Amino acid sequence: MNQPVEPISSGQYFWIIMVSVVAGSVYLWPAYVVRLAGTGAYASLLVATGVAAGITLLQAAWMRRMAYRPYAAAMKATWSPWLGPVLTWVTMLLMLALDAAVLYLYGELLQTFFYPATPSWVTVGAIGVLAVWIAIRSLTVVARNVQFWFPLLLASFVLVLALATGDMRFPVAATPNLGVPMASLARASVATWFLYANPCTTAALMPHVRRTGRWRAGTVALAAIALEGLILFSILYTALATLGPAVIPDMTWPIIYMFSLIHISSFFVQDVGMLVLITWTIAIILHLAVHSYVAAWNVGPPVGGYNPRRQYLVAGLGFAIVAGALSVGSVAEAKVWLFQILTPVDLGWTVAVVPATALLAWWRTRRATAHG
Amino acid sequence: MRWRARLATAAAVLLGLVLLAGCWDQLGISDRATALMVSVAWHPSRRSDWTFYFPNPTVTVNSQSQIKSTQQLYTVAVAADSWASAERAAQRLLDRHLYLGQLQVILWSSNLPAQAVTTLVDAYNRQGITSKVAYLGVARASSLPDLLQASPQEVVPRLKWQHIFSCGPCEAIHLSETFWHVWDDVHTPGMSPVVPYITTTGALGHIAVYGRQGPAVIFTRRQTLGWALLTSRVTREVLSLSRGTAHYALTSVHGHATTHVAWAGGRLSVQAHVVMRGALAQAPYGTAGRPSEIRAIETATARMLLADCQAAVRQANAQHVDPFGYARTLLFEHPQWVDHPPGGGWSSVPSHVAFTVSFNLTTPGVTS
Repeated sequence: MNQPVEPISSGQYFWIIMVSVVAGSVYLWPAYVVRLAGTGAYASLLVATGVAAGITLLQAAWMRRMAYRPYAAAMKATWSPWLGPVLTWVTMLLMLALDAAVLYLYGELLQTFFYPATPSWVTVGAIGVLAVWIAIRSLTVVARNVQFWFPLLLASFVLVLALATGDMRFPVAATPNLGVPMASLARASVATWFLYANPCTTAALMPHVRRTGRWRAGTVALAAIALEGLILFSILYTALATLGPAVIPDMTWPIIYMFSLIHISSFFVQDVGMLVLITWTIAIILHLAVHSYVAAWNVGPPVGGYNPRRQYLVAGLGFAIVAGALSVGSVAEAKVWLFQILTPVDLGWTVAVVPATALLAWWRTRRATAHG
Repeated sequence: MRWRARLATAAAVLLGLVLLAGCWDQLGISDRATALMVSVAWHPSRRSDWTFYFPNPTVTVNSQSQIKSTQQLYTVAVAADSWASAERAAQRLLDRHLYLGQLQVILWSSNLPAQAVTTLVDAYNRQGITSKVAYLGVARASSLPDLLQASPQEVVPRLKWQHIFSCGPCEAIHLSETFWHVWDDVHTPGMSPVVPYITTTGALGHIAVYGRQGPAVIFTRRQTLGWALLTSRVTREVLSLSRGTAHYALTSVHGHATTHVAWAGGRLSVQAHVVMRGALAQAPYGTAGRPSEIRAIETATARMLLADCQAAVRQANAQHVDPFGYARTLLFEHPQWVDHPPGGGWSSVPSHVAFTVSFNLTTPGVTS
C-alpha cells in the first residue's frame, strides 16, 4: 500500500516550520506575559525563542545521528520498540490538547469581533473540516498549500502591523524593563512556550527534505524559529507602545484589538478587519493541518505517499482537536488550561524528552561505533 | 466507492466554507439600524437620558436636495442606567437590528462623574463589534440636543462632529480624542483622561479633565492652550499680542515640548522645554523688518505662552489632576512604582514644573 514519499524542498520545509509554530495562536499573545513580566516580557520572549532554537538544534542533531530515518522508526531505534511509540503518543496528545484550547479561543475571538450571532461551534467545526481536508493529502500537497498561502499571509500580517504602528502613542512604554524579578520572568517564559510548541515537526519532516539545497534542514528550521521570534518581538513592541503595559494584561485579544483601531482614510478601504479575519483564519487552518498531519505521520502506519489508514487517522486527530475545543466551557477556563496547565507540562515534557532522546541516540551510536 | 468518498469530502468542505462566512450574522442593510452618534445626559437623581442618532434611510443621492438638514437624522431616546440597558431599551423602539459598529461620535454631559465615565467606557469597550475609533466629546446636558442636530454642511452618513474631530487642518489645537485613547487613559496609572469640551455655542477650544471622582474639570481657553503647549498639541494657533499701542497677530503657531520627569523631594519634578514658532501676520506698517523688533515680539510671545503653561499647571495641581501624563511617563520609566509608588498615590501629588518657552518668529509676506 505504501509508496515512497516525494521529498519537499528546503523552502517548503521553512514555511511548514513557520506555520507549525506561532502562526495559530499568536492572537492570544502577549496579554498573559505582560501581566507576568510587564515590559520585561522581551526577556521571556528571548528565553522561549532560545529554548525553541535549542530544541530545534537537538532534533536536527538527533535526526542526523539517526541517518534521517522516519520519525517513528528513529524513536523506536533510540528508545525501544515499545517506549518510542509511547513517548511519541504523549507528545502528540499534549499537542492535541494545546491545539484544542487554541482553536476554542480562536472560535471565541471570531464570535467576539466578527460574528456575534453565529455560534462558535460553527466556526470551530468549519475550521476543523478545512484543516482535515488539507491534512489528508500527501506531504507534497500540504507543503505546496503552505508554501503558497503562508508567504501571502505573512505579507498581509506585516502590512497590517505596519499600519498599526501609526497608532503608537508612547514609545517610552515599550522600553525594556530589566528590573523584573527572575521568578516572574521564568513564569512569563514558560507562558510564551505554547507559541513554539509543535509536535516535533522539525524532526518528523527533516528526513523528507530534499538534500540538494544550499542550506541544511537544521539551518532552515533555525531560521524559521528566528524569524518567528522577530515577528513576536515586533508585535510585543507595537502592542506596548500602542496600548501601554497597564491595559494589555486585562485584554483577551490585545493584538486583534490593536488592529481594530486601524482606520484608513481612503475611498475603497477604511478598515482592515476583513484582511485580518481572512489572514488569521487561513493561518489557523494551515497550523492545525500541519499539526494533525505530522501527528498522524508520527504515530500512524509506516510512512508512505498514500495510505487510507493514515487519512482516517488524520481525520480522527483533527476531529479530536475540534471535539476538545468544543468541550471547553469558557474563555477563562481555556486560558487557565492553556497558560497554567498545558503549556508548562508541554515545556517540561519537551525539555526532558528531546535532549534525552538526542543524548541517548548519541550514546547508542557511540557505543555501537566502539563495539564495531 | 472512491467517488462517493470524494463527493462527501467536497460536500463537507463546501459546507465548511459556507459556515465560515457566519450565516447567523448575515443581515440585509435594510434590516440594520446603524447608529452614528450617541449622547448621554446624566442626572443625579434619576436614570440618564440616552439618545441614539440614526441616518434617515430615505436620504439618497437623488433625494438630498428635497430633504431638510433637520430631517437627515432620526433619534431614539431612552432612559437607562447602563450601556446595556440603554441598548436593550433602544432596540425595543426600533424595527431593525441596532448596530454600533459604525458609531462615529459619543457625547456625554459634563456633569457625568468620573466613576460613571469609567463604567461607561468599560461597558462600551467590552463589546468586540463596537467602534473603538469613535470620537468623544463633552458638553452641557442642556446643549446636547442642539449640538447634535444635523448640519447643512454635511449630508448623512457623514456627521458634522465626526468631520470636525477628524479634520486635522480645522484644528488650531489638536483636541480630538478617539474612544480607545480615553479608555486607555482611564486605566493607565498616572494619567487623568482628557475629553474635548464643546461650548454651548458649539465651539471647540476647551478640555474636560477627569480626576478620580466628581464631574469633569473644565479648563479655560487659556489653561487649555497651556495644556496644549505642554503636550505638543498646538498645530496652527493664532495669537494676538499688544505692546503699547502696537497690535500684532501671529499665525501658524506650532511647535513641540520636550519633557523630563523625575521624582525629587517627594513630588513630581518636571522640566519642560517648549519650542514654538509662528509667522508674523499683522504688525504696524514698516516695523516688522527690524531685528530688534522681532526679538522683542518673540520675547513677549514666549512670556505670554509661559503664563498660559503656568495657568494650566496651577489649575491641574489645584484640582489634583494630571492631564499632561507626567506621572504616567515616570511610571513607564519605573514600572515597579506602579505597585509601590514612592510617597503614596499620585493623585494628590502636585507637579513642580520648571518651564522654558522659546519662540521663533518668521516674517513672511510682501511688506515688512
